[in-house]
Amino acid sequence: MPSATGDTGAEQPMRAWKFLGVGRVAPFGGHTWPAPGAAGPGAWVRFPGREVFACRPDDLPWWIGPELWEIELEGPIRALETQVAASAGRLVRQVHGWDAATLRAFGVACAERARNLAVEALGRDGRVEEAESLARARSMLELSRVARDCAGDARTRLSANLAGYVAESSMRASQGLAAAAANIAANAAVLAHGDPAVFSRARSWQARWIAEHAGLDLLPAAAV
Amino acid sequence: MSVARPQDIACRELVEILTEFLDGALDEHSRTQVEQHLVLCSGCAEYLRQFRATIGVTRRLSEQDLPEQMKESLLDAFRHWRHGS
Amino acid sequence: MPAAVSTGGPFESPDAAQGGVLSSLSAEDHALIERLRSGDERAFLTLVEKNHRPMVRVAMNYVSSEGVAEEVVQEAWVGILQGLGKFEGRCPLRAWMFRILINCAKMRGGREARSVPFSALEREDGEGEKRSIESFRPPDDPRWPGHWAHAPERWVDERLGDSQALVRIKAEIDKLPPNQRQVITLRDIEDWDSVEVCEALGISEANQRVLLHRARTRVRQALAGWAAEVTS
Repeated sequence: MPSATGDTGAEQPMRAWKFLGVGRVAPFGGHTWPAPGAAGPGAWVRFPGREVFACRPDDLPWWIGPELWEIELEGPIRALETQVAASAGRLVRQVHGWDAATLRAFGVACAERARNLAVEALGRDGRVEEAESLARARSMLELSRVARDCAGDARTRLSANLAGYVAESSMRASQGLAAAAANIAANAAVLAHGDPAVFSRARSWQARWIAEHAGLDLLPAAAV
Repeated sequence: MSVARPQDIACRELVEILTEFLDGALDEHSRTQVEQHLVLCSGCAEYLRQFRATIGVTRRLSEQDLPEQMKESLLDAFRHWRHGS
Repeated sequence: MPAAVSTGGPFESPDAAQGGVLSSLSAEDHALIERLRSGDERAFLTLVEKNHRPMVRVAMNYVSSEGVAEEVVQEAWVGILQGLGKFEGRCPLRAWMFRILINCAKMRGGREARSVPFSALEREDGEGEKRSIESFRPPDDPRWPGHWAHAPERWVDERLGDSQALVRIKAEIDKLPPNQRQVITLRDIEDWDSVEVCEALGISEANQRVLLHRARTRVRQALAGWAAEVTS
């Protein structure tokens, strides 16, 4: 996939990915994308005066949805901060590796990462018992409860504040709200490192997790 | 410290710009912020669903209720006009 | 009952001129005007029926009762017919019709007018909040300032098919301030687009959108209250 910074001006179709609602429903427009068939990709979707948006691999964590599709975009492609825009697109194939179970596992993985940060922080603070109880919690629901207990003095202690983030992230993970869990976990990373730039690094980790677990077919030349 | 980033939009602000959002009147940056928030926030996703559903039901109020008497007198006026009087 | 067609006064449309050449009109408008000029009663009645409710709604923004509004609509039609021969088509037909209507309504309304300046933003805080448990967290909330404290309860789709939902919505729309009611009627009931509404009412897009948003917000809230009643 051509690197997408600025206009590629490319005339050949660009491959990208797109999250859709159940049944290929566009998440904001509400219309249904034509399915690919035996003959090949689905019909081109084109709106006068409106663009079609899609994800590069690094963009995926921002747009989590029930279905993940590989999409072909018609150039010229406009590169934006968290997506690309094109004049038209068509669905190529569904990424079946991304299903309800993977989505849920993604949320859990993000909350787990946040947990690890909080355990470390609590340990450094000398709050060993809390660190251990947090580390021991098994289900997301239990983690959420334990983390909330550790979050009491969030206003004064970083480690307690982090535990609060873990509580929020794991609660959402337990409800299957993976996108929210991931966002909170990325913010937790920022808090843990005290650096806003960490947010995009956390998102990159999340993007790689998705690519790996959903089995995204990334061409060697397109490796991000 | 807020769990959300300062540059992210909050629910209270989002519900205020929904009509602009639906009309396609938001600038690209704002629209993207709204969309990203909708991915993260089930509360706002539900609110938008309800907002749209409300508009959908409102559409069904369309019916014609021209009083018969008015219809007659307007037809009269039309005929007069046609005959140049 | 309109008998003679008067001249001057509120019926002088802004576009009245010699010639009656139809310049930049849509094909649809063009065809309709030709049919009217050739005496097609069916075309006339269709036009009247389609626009009856929107015209009454708009007139009601200037006069004190629906009865008076209907009279104003009637007078406006006389003026529209009178001006049709000279209509130059420099703006869409409907925008022109509604400007005549508004002129009539303003003249008729006079001192009894309840028109609210379109720039006035209605403050309705607290009104109609009856059953609302939905709320936001305060700006100084440590974790989620401005986010939902109590998010909206999920609606069951089947409930919306209920004819009672329509009754509830109509009742709420009837209670809206006139300028909001006017805009939501034209946009959401009559399905006019933003540009058409602005042209007909002579308001800016921004104003129109604010009014529409407030109206829709109140109607949604009413429907949410109703939906909550139905389940409990």
